Amino acid sequence: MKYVLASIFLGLGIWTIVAVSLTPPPLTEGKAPLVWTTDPNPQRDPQVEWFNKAYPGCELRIDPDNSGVMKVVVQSSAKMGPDIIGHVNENSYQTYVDAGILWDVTEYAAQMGFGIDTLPESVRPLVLMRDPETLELRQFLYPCNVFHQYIIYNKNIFDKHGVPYPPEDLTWDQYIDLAKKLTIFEEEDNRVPVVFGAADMSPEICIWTHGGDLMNEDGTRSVLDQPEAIAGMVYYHALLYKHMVEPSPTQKAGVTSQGGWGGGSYRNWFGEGRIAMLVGARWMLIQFRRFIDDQWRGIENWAKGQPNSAELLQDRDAMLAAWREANKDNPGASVVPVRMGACLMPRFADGKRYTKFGARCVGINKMSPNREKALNFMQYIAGEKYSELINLGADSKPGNRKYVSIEQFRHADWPGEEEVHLMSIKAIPDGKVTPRSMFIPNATVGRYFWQAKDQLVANPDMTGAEIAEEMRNTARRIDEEIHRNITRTPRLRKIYDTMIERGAEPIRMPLEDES
Amino acid sequence: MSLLPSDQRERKNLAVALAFLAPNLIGFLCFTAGPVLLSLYMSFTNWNLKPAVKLEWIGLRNYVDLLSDPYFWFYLYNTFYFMLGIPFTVAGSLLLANLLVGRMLVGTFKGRATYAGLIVIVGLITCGMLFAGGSKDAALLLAVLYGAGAAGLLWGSMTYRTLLYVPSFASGVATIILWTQVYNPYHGLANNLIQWFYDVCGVEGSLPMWLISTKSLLGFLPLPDMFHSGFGLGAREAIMIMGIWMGIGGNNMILYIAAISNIPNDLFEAAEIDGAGSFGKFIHVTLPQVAPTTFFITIMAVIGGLQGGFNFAKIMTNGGPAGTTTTLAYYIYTAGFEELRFGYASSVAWVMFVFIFGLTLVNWKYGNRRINFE
Amino acid sequence: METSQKTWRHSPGWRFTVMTAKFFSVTLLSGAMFLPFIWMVCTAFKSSGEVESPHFWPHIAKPENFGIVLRMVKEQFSGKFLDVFLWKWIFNSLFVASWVTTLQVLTSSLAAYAFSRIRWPGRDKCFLVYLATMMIPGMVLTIPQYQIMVELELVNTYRGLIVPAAFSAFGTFMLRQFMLSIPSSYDEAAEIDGANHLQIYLDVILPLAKPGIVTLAIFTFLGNYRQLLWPLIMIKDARLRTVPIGMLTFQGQYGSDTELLMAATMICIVPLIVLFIFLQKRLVRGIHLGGGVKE
Repeated sequence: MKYVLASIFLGLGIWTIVAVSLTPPPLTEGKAPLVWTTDPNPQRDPQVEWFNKAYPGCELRIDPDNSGVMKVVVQSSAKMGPDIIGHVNENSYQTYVDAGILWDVTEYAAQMGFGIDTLPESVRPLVLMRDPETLELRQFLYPCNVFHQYIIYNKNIFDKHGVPYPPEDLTWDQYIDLAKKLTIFEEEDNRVPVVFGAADMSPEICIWTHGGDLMNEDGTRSVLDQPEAIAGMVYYHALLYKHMVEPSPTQKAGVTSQGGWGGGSYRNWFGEGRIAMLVGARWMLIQFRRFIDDQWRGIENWAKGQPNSAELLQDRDAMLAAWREANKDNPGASVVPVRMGACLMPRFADGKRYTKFGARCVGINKMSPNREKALNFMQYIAGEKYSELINLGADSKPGNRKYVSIEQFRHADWPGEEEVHLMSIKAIPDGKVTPRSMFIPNATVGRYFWQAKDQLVANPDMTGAEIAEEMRNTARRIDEEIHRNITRTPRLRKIYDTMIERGAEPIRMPLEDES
Repeated sequence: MSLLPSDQRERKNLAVALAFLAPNLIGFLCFTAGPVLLSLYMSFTNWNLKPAVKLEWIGLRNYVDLLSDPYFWFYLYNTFYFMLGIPFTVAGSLLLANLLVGRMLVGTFKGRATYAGLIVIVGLITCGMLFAGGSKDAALLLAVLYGAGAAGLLWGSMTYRTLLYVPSFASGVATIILWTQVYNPYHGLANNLIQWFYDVCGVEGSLPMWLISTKSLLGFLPLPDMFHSGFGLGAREAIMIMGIWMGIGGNNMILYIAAISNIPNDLFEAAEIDGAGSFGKFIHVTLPQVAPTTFFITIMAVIGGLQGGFNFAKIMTNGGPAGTTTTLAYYIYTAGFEELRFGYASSVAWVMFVFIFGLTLVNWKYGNRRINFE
Repeated sequence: METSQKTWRHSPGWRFTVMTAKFFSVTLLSGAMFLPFIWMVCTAFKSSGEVESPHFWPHIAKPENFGIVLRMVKEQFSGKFLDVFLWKWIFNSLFVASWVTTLQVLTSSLAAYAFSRIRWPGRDKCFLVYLATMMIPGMVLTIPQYQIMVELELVNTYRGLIVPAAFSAFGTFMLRQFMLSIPSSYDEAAEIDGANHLQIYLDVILPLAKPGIVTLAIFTFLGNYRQLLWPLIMIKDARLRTVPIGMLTFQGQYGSDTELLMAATMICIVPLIVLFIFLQKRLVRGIHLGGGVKE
């Protein structure tokens, strides 16, 4: 026994010497090391490379992090956090600012060229946050990329069924009408469609187009119990179960696994020609390009095995027609590869249009020793080279509106994406986010709302009255939490009092000393 | 050495014991003891990572809050619910291990190789035919079975142990994707089997909706309306069944194999002399002898069960539908890392601790009696 | 005493039937359980459109996935080699896991011996407290633990990955249970021969507890190789990345490159499978050892 132990340790010892000597020296001399936490996918590499070239005094490295806020929070608690924090979205923004992790960069922003004037107006609220002390709106972030939602549709499906394409300025009635026409069931099976007319509409859009919202402007109360919001949710429920133009969970789960159809996400199904209109954004192009590429490859492989392969390979249209003819029994074959069209989100004929949008932003760690150098990174993100990389890679849109234009979006290898690019620009003014509240984290509001939405989605027979009840309950939950947070935390109480002085709407539940 | 009075001997032993414990103890004190005590203290404060919030002692307020939040009880109920599958997993692992302890080899290597070769040839022919006929997936699945059979014949239980254990650490995402299809309400394997069962018995019945359903086996419990919607098989059962399936070939099976192999052979021989068949041997020799391992597995399952469910639910059902698959671990994550209320998160953790410790004590009292047979 | 009556249960016909039944059922079960793994292998060959669908055989095969992942083939869309270093990650993971396994087996077996074979006052109560520390959900402990590691300068180093993981209440608990099932007659015999505790531990208990030790080694190695949370928080340098962190490279903002992830996973799992096949023979103690220790 002793010999076994001894030999194991000897082996480990030798290995350790090897391991330690193999590792190269960590830092290059003379450069300021910057650590950027973000997802380490290969698209980042040219981005990092170009930054290091452009700013030779800095050395940027990526530290992988897909885990949400946990890593940054834990590391920052011991002052070992990254210099540049990536992945900041609506939910984590508040967390970071409150925890004192993000640095206020407003003064530098204008000088160094990443101020809010470079952003489209509707995007600006995203990078601003009220400073917890002064309540002023300050800038802490800059977007790496911005995406707006709109509708991408498969022209092949429309052609096949002789339905006209949706107009650019789509109304709800048109949306429902087109979707109904294009929701195709198999003959015997009336439960799960073979083709979905439309997919992935969000309940928020329904609420917003009815004039409602989740929270009020000041963030002091939830307005989910207002008639507009309730009407919006009733409308959403109707989309699912009355008009059946949005896939219900039963339908989604019931999708079969024949011919590659089954499981997977909406994007997969769209790529396979099973969804006519999909609510999407420009970043989906990354995947769609791959699907289309693979599908063509499959078609070419088939053509190579045909007797007249030489002429088929010359003429793409003929090859496609022949392939479709040969695969007549497969309904999916007639609609792939996808030919994309795009139009804007639906609105009521007399109402305003809204669309969801988001951005993945970076911020600078306040406690970083190299934070001034890190400002260079923000400047880089607002700059030309980075935006070019984003545009070519179809990685949503770059933040700086100077680089958002259809000429810069076009990619030589992918001619069929014109409309998608166009809509992604036209959708920008309609972007909207729910107002943030200082008294309840965004993530919590989102979570309560989603739980209510899940209830709706799980119950096909829910009546309007029950939906109203559910929304009122949710609003009350949010209001109660706001009330609890304000009464418990003196700092929030102070902020609330200041806001009331400035004319904000009071919270719903009266505070003790007021009643 | 052995003639000292027993308490003096015990004290001398204490010194020796401490020496043995030393390496473990140092690490424990360094990395675990401090943080544990700190979290206990913090659960009575309003510890918040926001620098603007000053640390104050608030006594039991965190506890009062969480105990009066109906969602806490709901998630607790979910967490306990998922633990209902533990006895099945443990029993399954034990049975499998019992089977795979021996080497399961018959005859000579040459003899087995011949038969294995035969199986391979038959397999190649049938699968080749299926493949050429177009059902590539069916051909592949059948090929796997033939391969398993041939390998099992050649190398006995070693093959089976590998085949059963490797997926438990390798498969993760794959298992979830495949099981989501098994639970397809219209075309999935689960409902197909149930339908076939109904047909065989000539019974009319409704098919469960599995992952999208909020029903549950205990659906008749008087919970407030949003927390249950009736009796049936829903998302929770789906995850439980999947958990049981994945668990029987996993770590527990390996533990049992090691434990059963540790049983001295003369015990089995003695039982045989007394006329016990293989079933009798199992009940009267194997089961009692692996009691310490069963105790270990049960306690670890309870601990794991109460802390787990985080990844499962997140990937497969996103905590839905309507929160029926969200467990307490998720609650702690959101309170601590999203809202930065670490004091509150600590108090939830300590409440969970009380439950786990309670269950463990019950197990201990019951199990310890059976172990100390010396 | 008469030898057992030969019932039909002992007839060779029955034995054969039972054996065949066992063979078929185990083959079916293990084949079925192995299917997800086969799916992973198949997916490693698929093209990106197919990965989320549950069919097995790829419709459009792309064996270049392996080449891409091993940096031998350029990725088709960016035209570059992926920034992926499988060999480095495997090296790091194997290195750390080996150290952790050795240390953990050592410390746990020593402690388990103390908790099971030595009688000392307060032993069982102490053990319960020790066990109790496993029952706190680990998430709330991460911040204090991380701060301790920063104090001890363990962050971003190999030792930081090894030292905190070298102690485990789990391992101690498990080995204690194994040691409990070794009859105390062995101890007593050795004591009579004049052995002290250390010698009993090394020469009697450790060999007898080998299945338990092998099991702990398997669990620890596998668990440590696949651990994501602590390496993620502790490591900042690319040179120290372990396999799970490396796998994050394939999981981008918009979704995973599942086919590449599967290809990489297949390659990284090979050491684990080899290790398991090698170790599992030692799981089962030689059956002929059933007799007593020589007196």
